[in-house]
Amino acid sequence: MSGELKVVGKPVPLRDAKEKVGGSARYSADIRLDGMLHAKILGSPYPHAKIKKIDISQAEKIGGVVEILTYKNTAGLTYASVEHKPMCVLEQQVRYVGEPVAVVAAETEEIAEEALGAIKVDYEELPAVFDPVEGAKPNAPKLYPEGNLAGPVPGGPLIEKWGDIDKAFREADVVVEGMFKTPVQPVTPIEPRTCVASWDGKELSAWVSTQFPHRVKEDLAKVLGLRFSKIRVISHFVGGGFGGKKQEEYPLMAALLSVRTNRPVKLEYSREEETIVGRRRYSSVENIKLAAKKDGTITAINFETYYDVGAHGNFVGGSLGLLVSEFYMYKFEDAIFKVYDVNTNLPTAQPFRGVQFPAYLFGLEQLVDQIAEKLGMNPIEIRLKNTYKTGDKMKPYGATLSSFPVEECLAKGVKASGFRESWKGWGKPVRAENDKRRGIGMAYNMGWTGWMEQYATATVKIYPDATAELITGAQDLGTGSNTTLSQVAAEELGLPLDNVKLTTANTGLTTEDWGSCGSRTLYSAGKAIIGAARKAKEALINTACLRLNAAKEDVEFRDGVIYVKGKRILLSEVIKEPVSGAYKNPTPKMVAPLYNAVYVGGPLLHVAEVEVDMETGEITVLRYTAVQDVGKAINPLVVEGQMYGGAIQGLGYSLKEELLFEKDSGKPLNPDFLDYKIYNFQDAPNVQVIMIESNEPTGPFGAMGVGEHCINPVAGAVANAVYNAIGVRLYEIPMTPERVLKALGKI
Amino acid sequence: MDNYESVINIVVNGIMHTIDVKNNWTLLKVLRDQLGLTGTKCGCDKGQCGACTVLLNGKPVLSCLTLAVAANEQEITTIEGLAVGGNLHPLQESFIEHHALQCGFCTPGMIMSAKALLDENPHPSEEEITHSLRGNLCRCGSYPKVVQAIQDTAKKMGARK
Repeated sequence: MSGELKVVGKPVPLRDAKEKVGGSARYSADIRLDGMLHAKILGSPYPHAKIKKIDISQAEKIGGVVEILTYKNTAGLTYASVEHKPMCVLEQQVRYVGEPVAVVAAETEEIAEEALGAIKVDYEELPAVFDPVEGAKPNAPKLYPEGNLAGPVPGGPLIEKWGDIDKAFREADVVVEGMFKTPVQPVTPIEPRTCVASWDGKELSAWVSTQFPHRVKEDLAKVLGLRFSKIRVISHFVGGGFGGKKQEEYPLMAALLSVRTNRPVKLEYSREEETIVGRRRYSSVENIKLAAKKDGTITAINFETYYDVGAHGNFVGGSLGLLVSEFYMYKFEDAIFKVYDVNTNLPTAQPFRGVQFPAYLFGLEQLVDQIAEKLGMNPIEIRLKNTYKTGDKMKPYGATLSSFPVEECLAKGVKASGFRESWKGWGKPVRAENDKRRGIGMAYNMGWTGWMEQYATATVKIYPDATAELITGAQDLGTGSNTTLSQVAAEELGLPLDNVKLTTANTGLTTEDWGSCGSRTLYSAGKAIIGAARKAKEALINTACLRLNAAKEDVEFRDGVIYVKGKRILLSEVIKEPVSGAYKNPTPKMVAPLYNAVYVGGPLLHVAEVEVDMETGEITVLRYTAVQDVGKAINPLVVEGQMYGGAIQGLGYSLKEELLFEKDSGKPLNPDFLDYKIYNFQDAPNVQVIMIESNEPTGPFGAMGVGEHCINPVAGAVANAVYNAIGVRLYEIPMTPERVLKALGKI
Repeated sequence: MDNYESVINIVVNGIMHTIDVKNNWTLLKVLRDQLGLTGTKCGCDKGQCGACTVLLNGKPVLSCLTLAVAANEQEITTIEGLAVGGNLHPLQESFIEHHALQCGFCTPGMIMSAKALLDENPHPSEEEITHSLRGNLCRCGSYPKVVQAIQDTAKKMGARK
């Protein structure tokens, strides 16, 4: 089949690249409207407090101040955020340092800034808690009247279990366990979140940096008391989402200010606000224990974790993972997963690329290696022995695993990384010279795609001049999906890519979509697009049959032309107006709530080779290999870009990134790029990416999403490489020089 | 203090502008808000991300750390000024071809830094590229492809001469 493909599989440059390299791409902050006001946020200085009194009278007197929002004049305005807990636009109780307490709209940014200083707030400080394990205790300071546990089970953890865990551990030949800690990692896209809202007296237009335009539309409708049809959320260019830019407070603040002032309003986060008020990955404390038999069969897992979901976070991004995805990648016969989602007085956590799996694999993959070491198996052997394979029924729900070329994935990863040549065996570093120790390690993972595939729709129109329009609500969050989705449409229609116009990123014009997250965009929207294109073609053929008085089997639409028994007829002679097709994906068969009967997601193997300086504790990644089954690379350039990005972002998570807070005050210590270090050009090592194309039977042209899970194995692979180098395991990321030296007992 | 105003003359992308500015306004603010040249991005407004890089008399500067009054009587090139007569600059072409961008937000700053580098050093080594661009951050992790794009541009521009 692949031999026939003309557009799919081709390394087509991004269709909007010219705008991006030329400076004409308009991101939300680039929108400038006549009479636009500028909004600024006043943040709480306390991690947990109740506002006793807020006095805005002096601020209101400053010339050029037009409107001020506080909890008082926004009372009762809540939105259903992605965290699933109704959240207030502004609240009387603040739960983290920096939480907005007032928003000023003024003629200029300077005036708005000045007004912030004139707002007087009296706070009643409340006791605060910053640690999820502490926060889960019954006597901990409470953020909410019902307590700090924010999972779906009131007052307790979410538990998923099967088999007989006690028996499994009793009868195990090998037991390994560890407590693993992972940090607060803010999303820190280079584009700070921005909204420009413009109310014209009848309708609201809001330019928002979001992955979830249709859901932001719903939030705006709720908060403003407007009908959906009165709101347009526009999001043509998003400067990097990574899971972080979903449903939040800033578009609601800007829109409220615009409606109340009858003026356009811009609210642009500063870098500090982006880091603190913008979303971040939960931190976690994971206790993981595995049981295995002498032959290397891993029989059981005992997983107990505390996710710090911050001030307003909920189980989305924490325990929800137990209900939906890849925790169960090895064939555990017996298992217990117990997860506490804990509110703390830290910034709000939300799913961020990979969600909880980068942390999970940091622990799990180190323990798998420990079993292998105890049994004298090599790291490849133990993973192959315990992984699910194509067609397996997976515990706990009995889902069937779709195409899963795990042997090919491991073989290619081993070959490309030179693992066999470098690996000298357990307890033996790749090389030891002076103060330098070199090590190699791997981590394995199972991907996942198709989350909420039923909430993907598309409309395809075919015009008489043999061009087409693809209309979809699927949002490009900076990954390049606008290009890949257009390729899918072009391929299915048999038209050149240039003949397909894409209409997207404007909820006033596009079809509904869940939002771009969880590697669902290409897989889900791609299927909807194929469905819509087929319907449009069918409408075209039916019209042609009628107008040309031909039998259906004699009519063909190929290369933009109608053929009747081989005779070529221009479309313009067949249709005078566009024909169209609309499609919504059906709900897949489920085996459990939120769990599809067919599990779709390919294998990944990451191999890291590192050098550790025993004197300084510094870890240098010398070589990094990422292998991933992508199903079919609709656009290899885009897929490679995602794989590079996942690996490099993951290396930052593993080695450098950690948002720190002052111990008692909860004040963020490093909320900017000077002190919060993401990977730069010089940090990025030699990364090699290898795609496997297993042609996923359920995917559009065999494709699966790739962007989410390509970050998952990184911390595990690096940690295993570090262990191979220095013979000591690290249980906390980022693996800073200080932590390495501590692990070595040198400090 | 911030009410003190000045009149500055700046040549931006070959066009002379005479503008009233406050003394504390940055060049970034003037380019974006006064001249509408929004191709230059604001990622941090404190000189830490490189997204606002422009050329001042051919040298790369962070426009968020450069006062507009300091640019008086000088020449500025922004991303909008790279294409000549509708033809993209070879670096822009190469970024497109090599997929050296994803979300694109850091791209204008990257390209301006890369241009400054190639103007001074037409055949940079990989180390010289990564050293020169270390102040341009990309959260999408497009670094390897940016390096390829710059190397390829250097090769092509060298061949053209």
